[in-house]
Amino acid sequence: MAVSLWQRLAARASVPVFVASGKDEPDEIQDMLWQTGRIKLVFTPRHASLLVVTGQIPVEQSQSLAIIHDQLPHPRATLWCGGQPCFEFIAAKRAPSPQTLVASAEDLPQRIKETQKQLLSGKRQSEPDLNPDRPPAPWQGKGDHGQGGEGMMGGKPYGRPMAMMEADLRDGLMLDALEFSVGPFYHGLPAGLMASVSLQGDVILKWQVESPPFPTALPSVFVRALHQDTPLADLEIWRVRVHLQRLARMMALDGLDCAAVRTLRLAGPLPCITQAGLGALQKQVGSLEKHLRKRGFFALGAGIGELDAQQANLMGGYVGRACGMQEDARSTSKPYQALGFTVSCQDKGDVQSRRLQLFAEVHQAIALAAKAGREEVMLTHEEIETPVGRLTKRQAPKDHSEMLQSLLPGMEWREALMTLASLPVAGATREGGWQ
Amino acid sequence: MDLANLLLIPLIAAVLILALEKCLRRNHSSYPQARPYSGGGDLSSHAWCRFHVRYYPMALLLIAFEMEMMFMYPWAVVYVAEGIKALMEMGMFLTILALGIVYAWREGVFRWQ
Repeated sequence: MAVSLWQRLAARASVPVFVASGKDEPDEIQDMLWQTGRIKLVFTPRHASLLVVTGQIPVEQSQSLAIIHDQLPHPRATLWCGGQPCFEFIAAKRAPSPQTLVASAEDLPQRIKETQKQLLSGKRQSEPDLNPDRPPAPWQGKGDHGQGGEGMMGGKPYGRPMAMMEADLRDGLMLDALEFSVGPFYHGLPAGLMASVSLQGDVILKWQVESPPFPTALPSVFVRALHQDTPLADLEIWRVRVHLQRLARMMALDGLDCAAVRTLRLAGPLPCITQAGLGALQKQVGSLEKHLRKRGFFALGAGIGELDAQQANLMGGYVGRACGMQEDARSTSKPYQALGFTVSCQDKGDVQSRRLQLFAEVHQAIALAAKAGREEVMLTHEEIETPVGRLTKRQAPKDHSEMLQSLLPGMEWREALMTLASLPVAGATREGGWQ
Repeated sequence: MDLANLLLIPLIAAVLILALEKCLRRNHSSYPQARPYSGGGDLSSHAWCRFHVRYYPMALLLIAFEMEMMFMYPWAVVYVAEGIKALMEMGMFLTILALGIVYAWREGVFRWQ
């Protein structure tokens, strides 16, 4: 009686979900789940009851996915959306049951709620561990406490070397450096990015990229504008959407969940927005910016993740403009010039500048979209300024994860995550994603 | 009788707590579950390592000034009897401490890291 009451109450609560993103436009699904009631996206698998795998997971990362899977507490289940389950991950133990595959992203919220109900009512069995239940680094020392091992530290008592002292980057006090690998499913990193990290306390000593992030799919409207006449208003509306989605992720990282959801709700219906709706959108974005200013969203990024001129030049796009570079492909395009486009810039090149730059570009893009929509301006150009950098017929925006190796050492972990969220690290693909 | 009660009550309480813990205890986590979370990555060195406790100098200063306050209570009693002499002694003591604060300030102890 009591147990069933608990089960019923638990079934009414929000479903904690951990999302592991694979290839092919995974962010759209995450953004949709953020806005769905009774689903709570959590940042670690330990707080989740369902694992949602979006997009296709490369075979070489299936073992990392198995590690994440096993860290979910019981009862647990996995849902696959937008990609085929990797059978190496499922292991030879069992084949994926048909109900774990979700055909379209629209069905996902409903399937999540149903699966949680089935788990809690006992109609669906909790998934067993995929990795064997034995210590990952078994005891290798001599004697009960490793006292018989080699050297002062007792050799390798648990199959891993003891942490050794390394030079400190902050105040010169040398302490032990902790070495580990992070990703490819760490919530604060771009999907797919795997790095080998050395930490001293919370300061990053070394950041070595093991595998680059999955390329993100550019909205097809930007690729189309390279080849054929495309309404300029559409380009600007998609720019607003992508910028708002990036800002929402930064807000979520700062703990401003409500503001993040509010931002995503503004971004979601943008492709269908009317001319009349653009005026209201401008006001809503202004009010959001004011709210965030009061909450310290911009001030929080001051002095963090500052790029030098060379790094800013390499990244280009809004990152370069946040550093004061007057680089924008739109300034060489006649339709934009006719609309009175001018390049807007910041001067410091830190996280705060990038946040301010994104908001400035959102305001500018809404105004341009309204004007271009009224005058029905069309655009074909050999160089298109996308929200993540310059796109030509020969070249898409590149991957910049290698730059992190020189940028992140010396930062605290929190600063590194804020910096990563403010940069378009992943390269872009021309495909339209799985949408 | 009282002594027997005194021994019996904690004994019963201990047995009850242990029994309750056994009933409510969740299953032991498996090794894959207990693995530290790093987004699918793994540790390559041992987790036994020394961290820099960044609030250490501030904590040390707090203790130092708490001790100072402790000396001031008996001093207040002595001051009534000794008068100006006790006041001068305390003034010297506080001056030395104040120099310590100025030095700590210069070294950036009060700057939170």
